[in-house]
Amino acid sequence: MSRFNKSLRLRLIAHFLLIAMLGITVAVTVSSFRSSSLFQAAIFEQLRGVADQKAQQLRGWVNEKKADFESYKQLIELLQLSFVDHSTNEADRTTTALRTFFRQQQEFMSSQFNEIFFMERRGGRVSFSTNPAAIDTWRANSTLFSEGLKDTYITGVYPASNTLNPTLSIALPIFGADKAKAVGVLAADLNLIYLESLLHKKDDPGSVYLVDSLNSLVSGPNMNKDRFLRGVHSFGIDEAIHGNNGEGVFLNYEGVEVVGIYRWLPGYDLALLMEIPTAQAFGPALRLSFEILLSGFVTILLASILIYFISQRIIRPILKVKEAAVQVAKGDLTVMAPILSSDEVGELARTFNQMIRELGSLYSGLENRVEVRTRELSRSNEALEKRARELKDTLENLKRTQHMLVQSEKLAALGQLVAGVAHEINNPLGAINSSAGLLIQTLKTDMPRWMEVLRTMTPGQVQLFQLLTEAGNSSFSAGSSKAERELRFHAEDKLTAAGWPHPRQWAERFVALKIAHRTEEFLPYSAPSDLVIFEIVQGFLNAISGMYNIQTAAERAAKIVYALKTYGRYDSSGKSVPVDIPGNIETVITLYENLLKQGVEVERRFQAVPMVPGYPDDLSQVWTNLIHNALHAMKNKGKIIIEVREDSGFVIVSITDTGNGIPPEILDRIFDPFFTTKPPGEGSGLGLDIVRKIVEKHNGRVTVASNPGEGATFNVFLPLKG
Amino acid sequence: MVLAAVLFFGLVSCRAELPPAEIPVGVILTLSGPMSEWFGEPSRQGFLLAEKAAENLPALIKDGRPYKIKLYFEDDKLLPEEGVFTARKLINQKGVQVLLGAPSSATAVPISLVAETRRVPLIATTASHPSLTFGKGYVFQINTTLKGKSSYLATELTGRKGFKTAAALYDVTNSFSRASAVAFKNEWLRLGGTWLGEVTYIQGDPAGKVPLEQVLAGSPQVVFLPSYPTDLEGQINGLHRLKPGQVLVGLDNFASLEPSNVEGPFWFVSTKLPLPDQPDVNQFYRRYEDAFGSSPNMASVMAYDAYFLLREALTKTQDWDSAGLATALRSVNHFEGVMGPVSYNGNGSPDRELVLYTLKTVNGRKQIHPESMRESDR
Repeated sequence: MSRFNKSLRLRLIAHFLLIAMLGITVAVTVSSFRSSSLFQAAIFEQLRGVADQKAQQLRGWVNEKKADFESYKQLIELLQLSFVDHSTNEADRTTTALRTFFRQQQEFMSSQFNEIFFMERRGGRVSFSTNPAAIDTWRANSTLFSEGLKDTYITGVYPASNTLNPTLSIALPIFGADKAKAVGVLAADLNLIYLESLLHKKDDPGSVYLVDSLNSLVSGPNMNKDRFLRGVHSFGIDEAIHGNNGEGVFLNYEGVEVVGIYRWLPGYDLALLMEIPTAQAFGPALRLSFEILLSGFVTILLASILIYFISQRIIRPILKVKEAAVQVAKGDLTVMAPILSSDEVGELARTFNQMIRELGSLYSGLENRVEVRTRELSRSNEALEKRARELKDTLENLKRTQHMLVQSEKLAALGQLVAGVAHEINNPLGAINSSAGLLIQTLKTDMPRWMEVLRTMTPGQVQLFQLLTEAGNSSFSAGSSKAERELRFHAEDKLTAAGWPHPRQWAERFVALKIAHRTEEFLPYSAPSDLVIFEIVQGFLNAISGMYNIQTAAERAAKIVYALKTYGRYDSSGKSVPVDIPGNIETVITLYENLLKQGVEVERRFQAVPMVPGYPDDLSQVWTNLIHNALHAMKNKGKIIIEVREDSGFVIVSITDTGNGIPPEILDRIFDPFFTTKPPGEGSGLGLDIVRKIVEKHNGRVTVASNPGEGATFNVFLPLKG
Repeated sequence: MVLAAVLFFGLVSCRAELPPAEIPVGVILTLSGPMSEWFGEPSRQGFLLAEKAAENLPALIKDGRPYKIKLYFEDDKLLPEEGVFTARKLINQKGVQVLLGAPSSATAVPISLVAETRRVPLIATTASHPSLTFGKGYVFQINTTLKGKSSYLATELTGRKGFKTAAALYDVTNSFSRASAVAFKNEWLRLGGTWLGEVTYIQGDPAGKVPLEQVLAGSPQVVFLPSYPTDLEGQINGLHRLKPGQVLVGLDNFASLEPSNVEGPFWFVSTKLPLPDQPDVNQFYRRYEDAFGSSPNMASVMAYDAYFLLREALTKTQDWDSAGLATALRSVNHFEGVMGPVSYNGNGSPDRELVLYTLKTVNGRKQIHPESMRESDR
């Protein structure tokens, strides 16, 4: 192929051969097609003539036999009259006449007919036959008998019911002396050997055969062959049996492609076919095509040789120019192409030489310019190297700054955490301090006075004291400030009705001691003079309340300290350990409770999930950053939904806030380092970058979904198998 | 690979859902003419009932594909030429692989010639002419031949019943009638009986009259009547009018008689008849009567058995060409039909039980009644 592409001469000859071959092929195809058509038309014409002739001969032969047979009938009818004296039975007379006639004509009739027989009118009994085995058989049910009794009857070709051989029969009635009624039927089966000789002539253009209406061969060389036990079938046979005449090229019953014609011969129930194998029919046309093809190839061969020499002359100047071009390509600008002709190729050589001269002068100027440019490039290169060094230093500075910022972010988170914890602990401590001060004051100032009063109380006052103490310690609650106000009005009314002075102050006191709703019950046991008893009980109740406050504050502080201990206990060895994700999140929520309880509702949707291999302190950082971002997005008002579930080998933590969401245009940038939406100084832009890096460190991934105005959801996927 | 797998499973599933292919089978019956009442419609109904019964059986399988028998019915008009024509038409143009039916000997014999030369198996039903299967490899009978029946009849009459003289009346143009008379005569003479002669007639001969007086002229003890059912009842009643108590005998042709229309005495030998009081035949009778509203005759039952005999051969071999089926049929041994068991044992004539029947009055009602039975020859 490469040689073909490189050789102009080779391509010239190849293209010529291709065009020549194409021309020859077209010529051969057209001539072959045309000659085949002409041959086919001629063959059809010839076959039609012969087939029509055969059909005519067949009809003539049968009519001739019919006429012969009718003349025999007349002879027999005359002959039977000579036997009147011997027998009174007309059938017997006919039989005797037949025997006599047949003895006289035996040789001739045997050549014309396979069998001649006489069927008596009664029952179709065969009383005479040239076939002795047929005598005394009864043929009442045969068509030959029933039709022959009426008139001359010629069958189509049919298989005899006893031998199944193809048969063509003639039957006619034999009348008695009175000519009134047929005494029987004289019938004969024609000898079809003559039919064979009629159909098959040595000089026939093709083979001829007959097929009956049931696809059985009734003539031809294959007639009795076992190969065709199911009849013979072909396009021509089927068409003819359906009563059609025509011609065509088709596969005959032996599967050989033939040119054939088919004729239906009505009255004989026969199809006549005449066929020539296409190989034989189109032989001359094929030979002609072959000769055209052969002469074409010889012409191409001779022309190719001629083309070879002509192309050598045409191509030689071009090759010289090519050789000069090769020298130029090697750097020799002194070479010149020889001008061997004055045609286009000579012009090419001249132009080439001119081009080489101009190239030489250009080449010498170009060397100087290259030297100047090389120096300039060298200087530029040095400047670039210097600039690269500077950029490298800048990059290292940037990396250091980034590391510091990450540390700063972590410290900021820690600062937030510590501030929260301090605030959380400070609140219960303040409550404890306040309650303790109140208790100290009560014990120091009021207790001695109360002891004095208690010692001098009457039994009724003691009972009142006990009742008030029980009521004050009860769990009763008005439920709401409105209900409390209603109770105060109720007590004030009752106390006014009872004539108590300052009923409003007393009513407020009743509310504080949780007996306002039982005012009627307490009125019999108390009087305005018992004011001191009421004050003592109220003081006791205040002291008890203070102690409860201290207890609650202490429990709260203990919970914070526990959470802080848990947070600080995480292994910071750098080794992956099993992490309880819900517990890890709960710790962060506890530490953030001071922020969360100021208007943020936290909904936990924790499912039981397996432990995840990971770094608990890093994961705490993840939840811290995500919750911190959520609080910021919601401006500390709204709801955070934290969901933990397991799916497809991952523990998935979803943190959803009800903030304003993330605009779509920045959604794919929020995990970039230093990207932030916070005002300058409020955020480093590293929070989500840290989240992404920590999650990727766990071989997980973090995604975000947000619709503007509907909050955002961060999904953290942590694989169960590290 | 995936495409190939999809194509493969697609082809397999398509193949599983292929409709059954057809096995073309020709059925030649006498559907017109005077004998159609006995040989025509009852035979056709027997085949149709069999075809319907086969629908409930597992499909015939060859090379993994289901097949079913497709019946092509043709009428032989009781004419030998027409029988040959229809047989050739079915073989050459319908492409049938098997021929069934041919219930009349008159057409069955020429049809058997076609079957034999074309090597297409023929299972004839009621036809019993001796030359039907003689020397043939592709022709099979459901019925038995005349020779065995004639022999058994003559043996019973000359032996157990002690009759000495006999004569026959038969239709000379009817091959069954003629062959039966010849066979009975030969057996009668072989067993030492006296043959007083035979009287012939031509069925449907407008000029002739059936010479009943002539057959009684020699006072035969027994008159053999091998006539077709169209003539038989008139002949029996005519002979009994001329000579009450005359013993009349026959073969299968007597099985077509309606007992209430004739008088005895008579005896006949037939293949064991499928009488409805036999439990194994009762179910067939019920299905036939449900389907066609009439009772089956011997031709119906033999048609039914012929269908299932063919099916038996198709299940015995996977070689379904003509030669293979003929071989399978020849090797059939104890095929259980409604007419009783059939065995061929290498021959086209079956090995069957023969029964001597007579007319008896039971509970005031005349009925055909078995009197004795002969086991098969083989």
